[in-house]
Amino acid sequence: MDLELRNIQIRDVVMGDCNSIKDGVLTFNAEALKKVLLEDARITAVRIDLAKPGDSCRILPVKDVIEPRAKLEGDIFPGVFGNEVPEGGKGVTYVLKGCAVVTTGPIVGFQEGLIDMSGPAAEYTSFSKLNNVVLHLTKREDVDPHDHEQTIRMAGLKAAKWLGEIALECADYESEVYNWPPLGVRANQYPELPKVAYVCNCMAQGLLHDTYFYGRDAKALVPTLVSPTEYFDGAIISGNCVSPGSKTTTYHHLNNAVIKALWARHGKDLNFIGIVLNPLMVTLKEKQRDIMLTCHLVTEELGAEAAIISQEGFGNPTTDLMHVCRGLEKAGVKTVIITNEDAGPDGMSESLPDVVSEANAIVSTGNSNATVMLPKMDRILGELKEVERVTGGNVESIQADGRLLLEIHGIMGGHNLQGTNTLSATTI
Amino acid sequence: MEPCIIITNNPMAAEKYADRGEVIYLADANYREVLVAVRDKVYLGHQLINHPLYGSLRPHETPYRTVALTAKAAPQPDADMCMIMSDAFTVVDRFVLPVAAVMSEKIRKDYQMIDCDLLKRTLSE
Repeated sequence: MDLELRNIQIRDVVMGDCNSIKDGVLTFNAEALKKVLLEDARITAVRIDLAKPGDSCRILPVKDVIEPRAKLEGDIFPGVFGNEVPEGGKGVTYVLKGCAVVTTGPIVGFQEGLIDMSGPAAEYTSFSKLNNVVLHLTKREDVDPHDHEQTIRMAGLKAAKWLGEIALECADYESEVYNWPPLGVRANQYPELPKVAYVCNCMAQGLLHDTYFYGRDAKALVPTLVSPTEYFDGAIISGNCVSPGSKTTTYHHLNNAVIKALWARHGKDLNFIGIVLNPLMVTLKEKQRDIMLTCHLVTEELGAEAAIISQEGFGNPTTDLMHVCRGLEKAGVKTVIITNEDAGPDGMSESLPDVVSEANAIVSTGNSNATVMLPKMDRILGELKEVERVTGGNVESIQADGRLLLEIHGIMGGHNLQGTNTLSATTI
Repeated sequence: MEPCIIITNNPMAAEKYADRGEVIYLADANYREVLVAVRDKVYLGHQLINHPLYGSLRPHETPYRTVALTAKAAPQPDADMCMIMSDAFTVVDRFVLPVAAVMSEKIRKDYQMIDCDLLKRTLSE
């Protein structure tokens, strides 16, 4: 399975009369994009704003962040649009680096997190470094929360595809080629190097707690082998909108940091042998099933000697995380966990809700309860008041002088569990 | 699915899942008090069907919990499940728990709906 990514660096995004990319400037016709989004009868109005790095601008509540991409042939986000499900991860994919689609707007009473384009919160999220095309979508009154979530999710993906297609005319790109031969070939490629597998945990529990694989709700999946290139083509989509700091957005899946890191070392000091997508379910029986199958795939099918597990969510998913770790370690697979910690504002509380003694190698993505004071911003895209109902915010978050007191948890991707963040832990 | 006991403080779940088993509706209980009732059943040998900390909402956000257990009790409590409950209290006790009564009707209903949705698969299996 070979995939060529044609990366186009975007240094600025502007709205204009037509669509083009010239000297790193993406110009798009906002009215044309609105028209495409309004084809969904559930949407009654669309507003589009731009938020650029360094702007005194705060976006909240954010639902998803998506990197614009398009296929030369076939569909980006396979299985999401239309009735056909083309295979992802093959051929040529155009990528607009340096920009993103950000969907915003309340779905239910409690809300998602924020992105600050400057100031201290900007340091915590990679999204502040992007030229963001922010979509505000108004739904028809009778659309219920389930449909509303789907409407916003689909609109974000549609916009990312539509913007991505502007790149198809562009010849000024940097090419990255990913070659992913069949498992039998990979297993024998670097016999002297340790085989390392990646277990990607994903939420699969219900409204605003979901992930989609080729358009299918991950609640209907069992652990599945996925190729890195399928990630790059958007076969995995985020429908998880609850915990902003630890949330895996679609942008994170498209640019999965663990996959990138493993690929960089593939053939040098390790053999990247495969990926298991592991849905994190609600019932203990489903958890046991998925833990067993994940361990089976890593040990019996991939024959891995080491594994990295990235986490999503917090609370019950920690049980899945720890028990996959235990199962792998017991089978002789050296396992490293990536997770955040909830150690209280002072860092003194027990930081993980579940732990096993086999989890002896953990990479922390920071304490989500640590608080930061954020300055007032000149421009708010969305509703500032919603910060009171964001994870990491509360009714006392908005200060009298307009500043915000917020836990790191309230910042989109603030302690992302695939490691796309700047926080970690040090020994003192 | 096998007969179960559903312990909840969510009025929407109590109504929606009334035909799935014995519903113990604790109208005035908070998040922790629901888990105490669940723990007591686990100690009596009933087995957890769903994890007590299901979902991603923290205990200081949603006031609602709905936990399903087997109607049939084993002669001995399950040690792993006792540990899950014990760990759940360690998490819950770090938070100031919300009071549903002081929330707006809209927010309350949204939390109730999300709670029902998260349990939909559990209670339909």
